[in-house]
Amino acid sequence: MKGTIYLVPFGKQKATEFLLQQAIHGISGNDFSNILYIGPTPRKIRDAQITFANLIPADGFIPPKFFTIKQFTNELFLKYCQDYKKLSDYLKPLLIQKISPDISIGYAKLIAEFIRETKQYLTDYTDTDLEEIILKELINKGCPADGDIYRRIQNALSIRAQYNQLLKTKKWLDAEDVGLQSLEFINNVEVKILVLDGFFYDLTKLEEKIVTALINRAEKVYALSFYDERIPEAYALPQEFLVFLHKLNLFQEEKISEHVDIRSDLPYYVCPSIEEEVDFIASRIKYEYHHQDLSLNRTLVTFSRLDEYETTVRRIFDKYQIPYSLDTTKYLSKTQPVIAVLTLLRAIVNDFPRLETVAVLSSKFFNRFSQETKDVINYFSKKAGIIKTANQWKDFGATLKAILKEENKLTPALTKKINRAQQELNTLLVLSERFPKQTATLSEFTQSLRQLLAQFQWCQGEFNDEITTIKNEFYNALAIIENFELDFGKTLIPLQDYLKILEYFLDQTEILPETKSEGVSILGFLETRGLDCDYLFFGGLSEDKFPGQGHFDPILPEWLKRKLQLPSLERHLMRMRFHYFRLVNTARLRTVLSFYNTDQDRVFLPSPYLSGEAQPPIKYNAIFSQEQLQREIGEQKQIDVSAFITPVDFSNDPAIKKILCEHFGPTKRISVTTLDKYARCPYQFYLENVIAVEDLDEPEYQIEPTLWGNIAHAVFERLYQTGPVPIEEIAPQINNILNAVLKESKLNQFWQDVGRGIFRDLLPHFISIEQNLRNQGFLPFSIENRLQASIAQDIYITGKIDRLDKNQNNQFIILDYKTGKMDSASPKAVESGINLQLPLYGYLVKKKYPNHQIANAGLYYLANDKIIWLKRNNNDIETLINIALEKAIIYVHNIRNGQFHLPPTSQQCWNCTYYSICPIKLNPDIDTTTDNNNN
Amino acid sequence: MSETLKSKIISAPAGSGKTERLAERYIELLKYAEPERILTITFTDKAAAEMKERIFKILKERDPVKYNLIKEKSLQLRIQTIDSFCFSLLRRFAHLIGYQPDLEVLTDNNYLKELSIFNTLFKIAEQEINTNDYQILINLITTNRFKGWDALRRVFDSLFQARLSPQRAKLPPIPGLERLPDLIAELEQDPITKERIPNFQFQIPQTSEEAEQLKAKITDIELIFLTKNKTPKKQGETLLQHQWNCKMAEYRKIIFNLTSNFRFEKTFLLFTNRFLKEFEELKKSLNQVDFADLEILTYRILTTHPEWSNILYLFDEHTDHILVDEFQDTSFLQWAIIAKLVEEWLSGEGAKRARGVKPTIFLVGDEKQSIYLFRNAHPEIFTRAKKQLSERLPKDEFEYIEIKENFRSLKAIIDFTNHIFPKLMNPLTDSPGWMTRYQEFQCQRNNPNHGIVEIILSPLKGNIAEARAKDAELVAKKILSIINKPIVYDQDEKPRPVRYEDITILLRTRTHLTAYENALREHQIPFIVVKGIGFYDTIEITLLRAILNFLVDPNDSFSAYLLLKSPLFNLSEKEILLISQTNEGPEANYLSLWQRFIAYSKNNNHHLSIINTLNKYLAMVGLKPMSQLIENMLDELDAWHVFWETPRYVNIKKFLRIVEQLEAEGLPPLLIANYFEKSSSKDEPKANVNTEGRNEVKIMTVHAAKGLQFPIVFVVGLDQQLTHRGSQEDILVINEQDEDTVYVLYEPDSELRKQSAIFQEKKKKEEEEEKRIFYVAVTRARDALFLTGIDQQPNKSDKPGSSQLKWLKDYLPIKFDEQQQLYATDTKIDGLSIISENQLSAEVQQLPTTTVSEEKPKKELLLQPLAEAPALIWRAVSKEIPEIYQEIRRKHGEEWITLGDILHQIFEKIANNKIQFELGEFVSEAIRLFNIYNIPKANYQKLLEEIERQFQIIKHSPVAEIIKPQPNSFAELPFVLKQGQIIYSGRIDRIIIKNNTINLYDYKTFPISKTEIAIYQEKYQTQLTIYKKAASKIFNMPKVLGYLIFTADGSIVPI
Ligand code: SF4
Repeated sequence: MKGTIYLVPFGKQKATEFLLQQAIHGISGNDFSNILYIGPTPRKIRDAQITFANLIPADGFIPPKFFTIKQFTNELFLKYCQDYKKLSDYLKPLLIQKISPDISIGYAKLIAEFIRETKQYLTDYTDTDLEEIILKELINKGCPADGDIYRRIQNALSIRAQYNQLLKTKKWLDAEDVGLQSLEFINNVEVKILVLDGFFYDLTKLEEKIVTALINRAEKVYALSFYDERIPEAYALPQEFLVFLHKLNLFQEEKISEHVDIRSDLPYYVCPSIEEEVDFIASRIKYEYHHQDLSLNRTLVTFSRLDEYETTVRRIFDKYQIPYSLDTTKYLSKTQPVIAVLTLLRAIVNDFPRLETVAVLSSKFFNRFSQETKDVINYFSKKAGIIKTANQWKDFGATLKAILKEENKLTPALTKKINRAQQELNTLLVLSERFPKQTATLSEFTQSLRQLLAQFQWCQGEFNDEITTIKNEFYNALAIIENFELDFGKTLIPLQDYLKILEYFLDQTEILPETKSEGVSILGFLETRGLDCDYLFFGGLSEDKFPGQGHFDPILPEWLKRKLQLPSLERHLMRMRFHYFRLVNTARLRTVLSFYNTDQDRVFLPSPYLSGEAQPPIKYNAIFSQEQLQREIGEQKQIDVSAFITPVDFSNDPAIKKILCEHFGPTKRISVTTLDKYARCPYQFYLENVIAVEDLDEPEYQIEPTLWGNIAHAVFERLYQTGPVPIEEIAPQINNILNAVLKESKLNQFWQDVGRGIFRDLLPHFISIEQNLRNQGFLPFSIENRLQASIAQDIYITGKIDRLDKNQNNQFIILDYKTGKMDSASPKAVESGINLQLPLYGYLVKKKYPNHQIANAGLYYLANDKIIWLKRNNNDIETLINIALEKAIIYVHNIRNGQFHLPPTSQQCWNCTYYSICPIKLNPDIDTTTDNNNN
Repeated sequence: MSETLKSKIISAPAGSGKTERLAERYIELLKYAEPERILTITFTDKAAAEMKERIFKILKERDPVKYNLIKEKSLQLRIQTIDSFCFSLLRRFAHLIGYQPDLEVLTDNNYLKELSIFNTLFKIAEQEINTNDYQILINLITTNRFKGWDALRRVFDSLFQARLSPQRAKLPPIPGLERLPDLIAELEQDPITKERIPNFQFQIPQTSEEAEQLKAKITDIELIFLTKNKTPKKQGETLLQHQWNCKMAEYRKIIFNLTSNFRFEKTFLLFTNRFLKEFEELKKSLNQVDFADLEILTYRILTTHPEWSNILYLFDEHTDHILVDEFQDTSFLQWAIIAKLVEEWLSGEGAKRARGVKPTIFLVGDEKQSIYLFRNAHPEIFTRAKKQLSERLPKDEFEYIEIKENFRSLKAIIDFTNHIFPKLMNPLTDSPGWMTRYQEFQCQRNNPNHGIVEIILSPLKGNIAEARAKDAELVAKKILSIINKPIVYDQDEKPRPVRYEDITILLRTRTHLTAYENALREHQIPFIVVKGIGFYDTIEITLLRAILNFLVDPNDSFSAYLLLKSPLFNLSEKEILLISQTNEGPEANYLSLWQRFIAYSKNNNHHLSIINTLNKYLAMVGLKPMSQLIENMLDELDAWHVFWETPRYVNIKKFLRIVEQLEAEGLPPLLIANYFEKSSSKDEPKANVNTEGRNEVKIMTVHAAKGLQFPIVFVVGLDQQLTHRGSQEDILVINEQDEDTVYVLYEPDSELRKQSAIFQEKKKKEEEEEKRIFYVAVTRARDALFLTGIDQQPNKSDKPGSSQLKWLKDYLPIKFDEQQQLYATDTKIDGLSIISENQLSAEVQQLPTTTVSEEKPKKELLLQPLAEAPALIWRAVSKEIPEIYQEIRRKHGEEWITLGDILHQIFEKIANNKIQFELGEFVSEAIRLFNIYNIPKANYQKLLEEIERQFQIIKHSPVAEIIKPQPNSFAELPFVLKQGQIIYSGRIDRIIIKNNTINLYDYKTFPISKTEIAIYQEKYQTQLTIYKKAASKIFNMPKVLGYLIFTADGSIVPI
């Protein structure tokens, strides 16, 4: 017999070493190139190579060939294949889309999977055979031939046939074809000794063929399998492999008996969150490293789904300073430079939404744009109220300048910055404009993209090697797309689809991580195949993740798959079961199983394989990381995090008071609006007007309220610019003025129309209010009247009075237009210090026109067609003025005194942006909550 | 027939062991059916998991064989929420509704929602100028004058979330509309009309404009027939006149209702539909559905695509038995889906029956616990289902059961409940189905003790905040007084002392949570808030967001302010103020605090180090994962000193996890930061702190307590008003009528709302729900129930039924002795008492003061990094030194790398005599490799030219001889070399053994200049040394000569 199968129990240590020892038996010298070793995973190959090197006494030798089946067939393809190109797996869906353009890339992926499986497992059937068999089965099952499923499967089969045909005519091979082809090339290789280091049971039909061919070619074959019957359910898979080998009639069996305990009913640790699970694993490693015999190099950490754990694991292991190797594949689409490119495309596809556009403009990877602009664009565009569309961006500078000017913040330096930002934005828009917006071919899009990236100087500048590699890989990926289209023909697709294809493609394109081999090995579950260790940590063992249920198949029903011997759910479970039991039994010293059972509102049960006792994670009486140490100290000192939220009160600080006086001191005039703002909320006033750190919200679809205010003011100002206008002329005049003002405002037509709509609505009410005033004998006297006066020693206040009406008795009415929501202007409000504006205006007017009287003062709410009068019933304006003066003096003193800790008078705390850090919460006397918070 | 195969509806009140029944039923069914055929619908994922656990537990004990069989497939067991069930169906049916089968559920639809709203608005505003929709949009926006779009936002958000597809959304019917022509006729003929409003024209408006005009006219004359309070005038009117007034009022009401409907239809509904359409398209283009779609689309398929049942059969995914838990929380739509699934067999002739399968349905729930009106749960679903099933199933196949047993609470609690709720939940017989009726239940616990029901009241005059603070104080004091008293009972009904963890405080809403937290803290009672919302309002998350915002945009001044002020940097308010005042520098124009800080801090070392630290992290943004960056920063800045408390700690971890997940999705940093900006308005729950094993009082809302029980329950805030005040929800009704109809109306005008039946009904429904919420709260208690509240003196609002306290006062009833300041009741329930604050204070004063301080064991410090030299290091010696690779890339371009690979392979083939040293073969091998390497066609020419050039050079140089085949030579020889710990492996390009000397060659294919040769000699030294050693060992020959061959110019350089 040329072949020997060595049967070992689960948990046998160093089986590979044993197997290799058999293989080199009798070879003298240091040329082992006649040995071909086939293993299940690249990681296992690496381990086997080291094992082998360790086994050979010589310091230098020619090694055996070590391959996985896939590596082996690829090698043959590279060496011997003529005239063919290889279709990488991730091009398959693109090709399928070419065949059937209206299926999504996601569905194409599923069809590709269907093609892959059928080509791997049903190698002996032609496309027509397959169609016949499958459709017959369906009819037998009672599936109507005009029914949906029948049609769907038929469609998938027809895509498969066309796909194969296309590959043939265009001379491409997919991975399965490469496997089949390699059968022919195997005769070119010399294999004397073949080592089949088990663990790759569950061979596909195609793989079985390749292995058979290799066995036939070899002179001697050494294979490894298991005989552990103590766990019969896990034993099914290796037994299948044995059956396969024995069918060849070339093998004898040799049992290596060795007593190894079986681990079943292992206890498992249930952690409350993923963070705590990984934390537990890391702390246990660290603890046992110090207190037990844990060796990092002999420790294996695996998770049912490493991709889910990866970032958390990296973060926590770094924190614990445990050296590890973790080679997960990284995909291009998740690298920062490529994210920037995709964001750019998304910006173009969606007509330049603010965030995407800002993300592009401020990205480190687009060198075309100046750092200066990168710094300011987020703030600028937020402030300018940009939401999206190239149109909005085109004159965002002008809008912004108008707004800043209104707030008195526009300086020449700022103007320069804005201009520059606008300029660079224009560049971005103009260049992007050239990108095909409608339909184009893949290559056309790709070329434009290349061009655009060159113009934006993508990844140019000082970047590390990693970025350079990403850049190159990205351009490679683009080249592959173009090449693909060159061979398979061009189709016009919309930009949206191009983005999707690109996203998909980059999602599949791996960039190879650096491989480290130090410390603890952290591996995906299937990567552990064939490995052994001293300590095993196996996490993520919850029902939802392990053993899982294979992938969702929209095409073939389970029963049909079972019938055709395609991978089915049963098979998947059989496979996972075997690997699970082998793995947990393989650690020489200890196996630690764990999972987390909650994530937000979700609850997870243990994996069905966990049959031991559930335990909470061990809490060691030790400190493993800086973080824990810091927490420990914090707890000991009982540090209170909110301590930094202290009331802002500078009344004991002369230096600060001096500074405040520079802005609000005796030499400065303080506007009534400033006082009002302080009154509304001193802390907010401090934030926005003293240290200028306002918190901007994401823009909404609307015009800045201040802009409306300006428009309204401008309209009414011009209306009475030259004195009273006869009632009947008000309407036509306002319409004219409004059109002029709107035109100057540079608003787009829509908002201009809204403006006209608003005025159309309010005009009749305005007129009737005017009429009313005139009936009482009042006529407009002055508009936009700027007044100032001192209200106490050292205090000057100023105010701009929108409108002053006068009657023949030298009485005045003060009016202030408001476009916002209604506030109270009641005498009560004045008394409680909320609204001082009107009485203070009254004071200013009186000062300026000493021989006149104030009949009344009102806030004219344009949105509500209402004037809220200060004087109602028989209260006295004079008294109110005096109260207001008193209050105003207090406010001014408070401001100069730096007292910003006082409670707000009219702001509502519960919907204030600053609430979460506002010291007001420390004040128990103030009810800051609302009542409409349900559930 | 077997009991199990009967369909059943079970009305199972609180504490009646409902979950147990479901589990038992499931296990029974397993005798008749494969687990795949049994569908169990639960209300939450959590409930599904618990149900599974329960089933496994019972099965493991009773039937280990079956247990082992189904356990591995536990993921296939269909015990799930209706959402996940719908999703599995949708995936299967996706193509029927224009989706692809790989469709995904969008967990956060916010982005797409915003996008679809803006897309629509921009389209209308910029591309549809002067169209009808454009005009309407302008009108809509102008109704709010200057507030613009903002004011409409929330309404649209609500309408959006309700997913009012045009098919489902309907305007509410107007009561009396059908009578309108008669009414008009009557009024027109009435002489009073002619007398009082001779010029008024009655009409039935057909358009929105007509309605508006008519409404205005009516408003002008309404004071003729209405009082100021808008009621028909009665005083001073004759009977006939009064009747006329009433009729006019009715006419007015109908017209007003019509106006509301027209307005709404023309504006909101119109735009909602446009937004939804856009939204739908966006989702379709991404092949995504959101949660709201799951049920709607499933229902749509089940009703419009008869193929569905066939498809399920063929995929073996059909259902024979259905169990539904918490049936009272089912919406009409959900019930319609379930009913659709069973329709076929209900009709008595389905394929299943033909095959001898007897399908069943099993619904369990309690109408009185229906507290999810805001999610469209309707208690009348019970009646509806009962009716449908009893009508359509044979008598012996259906049963309705009401359970009376209560296994949960002690007698006092049950007596109390049995006393209050029959009065509170006592609708008239012909009341609508959404009014629930109470059925008494019986205590089943085997405990001679009655348990406790205690009502604690404090008379107080004060505002809301004071009232809540006082209430919280009552709770805290009561807790202190019962702790360690033996008033709770273990499973065996033996008393044991109360621990904190036995106690749960139930809040109606979270509004006043802080008051209770403060009181407990003040009295040093440990507590934990379960599922507290306000994740984004916590200080720690506010600070983390500031860090994130700062990192993506340091010029975000507010974030910079927070960060600098925070304990991480600890700048004082004063320093910040000084910084903000900086006016130095060339332009003296600072956009942001950060820029000012940099300018200000030139000479301040402490500040400079802050700036350096921050700059360090700013530089890493985009190059390192954000989550890691933040965590490193926290570590470096000793942030955990301040974030040490567990709830804060887990919140931060939760935050970082969200960041991680967003990064995994490929979001650029700016969008990650923005995610949190947008979500800050969401009610994100705080991170779960594992409550198990923590001896702490739990605080949660009644809704969160659903399905749970606790030894001791505090129902607090009895006096709180149960009606909302003026929130946005009040002006919008979204009322699900049945699976096909949702009545919807938005009416900002309060007067019109008062006239609208649908608004009035909504109010009543909410009131009814409040009763049920009270019921749920009370029935959570096992051993003791405490109810606390403030007895406002005098009561501010005396509307009947407006607070729980009012209910108790009315139905218990409660009496107050002003003189003694004592409360009492005539109702005799053993264990029930009503005490006042004074009595409570007396109780507390008698408590002994104990302080126990535990000495904590000292912790071992294991901070040092772990290190362990690996036994062996495997080092693959690649063909090229990475650094040189990069250099070639930079200098000559990517093609040169590929070119090198290709040339190496050609040389190998020549050496092995596989191809001849001829240009033709050179080129054809190159092209073969181009194909395999997938080289862009565009590059072929360039590469071939270079290959040809090198061929010509080599041909005329000694290199040719080296490449060509010859005896005792090797090409691409693999080797392994062991040196101490390190194992080198690689391939040697070419070896020729002559005269006992190994000549070893390494090909370099990139262009070099003469001056560089020395540099490369130096650079390749190490590599060649390894090669030489390996060769010497393998061939056992001491003499090895190494050469570099530069094929680009044919030079051979010894090393
Ligand atoms: S929370 Fe209240 S006190 Fe604090 S800033 Fe806002 S409005 Fe002012």
